[in-house]
Amino acid sequence: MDNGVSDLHISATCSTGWILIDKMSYKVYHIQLWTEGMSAMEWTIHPLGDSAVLIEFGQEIHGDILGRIQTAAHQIEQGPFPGWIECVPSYTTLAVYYDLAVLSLINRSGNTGIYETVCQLIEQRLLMGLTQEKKQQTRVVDIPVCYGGEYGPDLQLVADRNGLTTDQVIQIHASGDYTVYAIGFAPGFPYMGGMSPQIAAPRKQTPRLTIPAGSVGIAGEQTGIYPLDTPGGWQLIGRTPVRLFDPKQTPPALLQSGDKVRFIPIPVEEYIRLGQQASNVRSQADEEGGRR
Amino acid sequence: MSIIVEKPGLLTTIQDTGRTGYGKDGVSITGAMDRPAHMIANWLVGNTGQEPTLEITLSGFAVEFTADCWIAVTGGQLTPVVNAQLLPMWRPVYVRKGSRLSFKKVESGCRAYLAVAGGWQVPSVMGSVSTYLRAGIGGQNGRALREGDILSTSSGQLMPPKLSIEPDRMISLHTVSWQVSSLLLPSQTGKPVIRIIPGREWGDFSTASQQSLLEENYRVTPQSDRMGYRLSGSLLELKSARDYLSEAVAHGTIQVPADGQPIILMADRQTLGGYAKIAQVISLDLPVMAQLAPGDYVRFEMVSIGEAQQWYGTWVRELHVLRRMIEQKLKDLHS
Repeated sequence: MDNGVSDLHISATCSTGWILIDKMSYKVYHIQLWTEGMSAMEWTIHPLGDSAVLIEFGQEIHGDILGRIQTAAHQIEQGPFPGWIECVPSYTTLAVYYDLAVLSLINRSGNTGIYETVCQLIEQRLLMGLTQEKKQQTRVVDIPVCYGGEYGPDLQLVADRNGLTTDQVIQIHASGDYTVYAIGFAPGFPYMGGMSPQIAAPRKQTPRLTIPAGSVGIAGEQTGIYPLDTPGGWQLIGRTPVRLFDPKQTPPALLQSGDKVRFIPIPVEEYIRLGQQASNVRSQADEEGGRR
Repeated sequence: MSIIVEKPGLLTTIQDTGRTGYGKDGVSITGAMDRPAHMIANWLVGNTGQEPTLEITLSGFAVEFTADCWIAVTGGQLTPVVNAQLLPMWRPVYVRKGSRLSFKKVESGCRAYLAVAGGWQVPSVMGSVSTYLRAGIGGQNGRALREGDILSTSSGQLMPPKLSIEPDRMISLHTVSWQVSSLLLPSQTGKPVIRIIPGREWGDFSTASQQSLLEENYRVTPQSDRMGYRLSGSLLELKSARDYLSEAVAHGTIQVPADGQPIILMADRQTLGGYAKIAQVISLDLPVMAQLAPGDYVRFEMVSIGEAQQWYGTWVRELHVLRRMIEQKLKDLHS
């Protein structure tokens, strides 16, 4: 707790964000990716049971569809209707959950059903999204990764399978431009697209019983990061010291649907240093929280 | 006041009405599986309904009370006993210091709820105290209760009862002469008919599979838990095999993986699912589902979304009346 602590202390007290990343110049920053209006937006609404709907914006995985989902979620979150609970985006759909008890009380005298009412409320908001010229921002998040060794026990296997050297696998993995389409499966787990098929590898026949949090893996043509210690069958090629899920942060997940991700290779010493600083920052922040 | 856990039982967790608002972060909602039982237990001890209760699964749970307090047990009939005396469910009960509450035998249902006046004192994580076992957050350090755990209560509104005789330490509980009518509660028979509405991929299933779901019995397998009920019965097959992109699911979504055996997603479900959704259990019947135990059989009946929502509305209004009646009865306790 000596060198660099004062720096970190300042960060810890003035920010609730991802201090570690900022301090280490692995920055989370915003760039404006596209600014056109959403005039081509089309959707269909389906019931997801009696307390949620799925708004479908297309059939395939595509950046344009992701953008429409982001805009729609934004419109609804900024203008929530009575009984609205939350929106959950995925590849081609946006789920909107509502409180049936609240809407039952509001809708008591109406002739229209609750589902129809909810559809109307959502359509009004989506139509507003059409007319408003929007500036959509996309975040780019750099994730430092220590590849191979004890952190990436399957790196050699992935290399052998694809007729590459381990360095080539790292180079290909780290030069990719990844898009987060959804967060799910586990808290903070990103479903990402954009990995090169050159480094694809099937899941393990027998899943590992424990995979440490931060492990970066490959399953088929997908790459992902385990936010928590969990069992899993992905081929592990490296590990990040960055925490992907932290209940004390707002939002608790580092990555959000629509983010762009880049992997930055780091040596073992850097991994250890970042890991230690992360825990220092954490204990500092905890102390701050305790004092309040 | 506090309780000391003597035996944790099969699975006992601290739950409230769930952790909403973080679905886009991949966070499961969790919360009490049988919401009405959880809320009514709270109302019966003068709480608002938002306070945490203990969700007790099947059998084996036992605790000791370190002070006199009001409690209520609702949900499945798991034969709660205070010392040697049967504890009446669905009503407020005043238990004495040093009493031991245990759950002896499963008569019907699967989950009981134990509420205490003031509610259990647990730190809130992301707006809820619900135990989220998979992520290790909420409740008692993110885990199920263990032997030796001590749970404290927040101060409650409900005053001690006026006892006709001086407190006798030999009498371990004092109760009221009324209880919540079972007519108001979802049916708790061993072979319920669960009402469903079509899922988004209902039409992708073969006509034979659609018929099977609506006409045959499905059995709850031992692999069922708070995440989902895995059923076994006639195979449910798609007209033609295909992959679906993962998308949001809901409490009560019936999804069908490649083995053709349906899974009903429950409180601890993941936020997204990649299997075909054949149907969806209506909200009104989720508490019925939550009280099914492994080995129970279930049948399904298709209804319309309009009907499902209308019935729910009626029931919500009945619950409001019930709540007001309970509040009045509790006031009478002190007058």
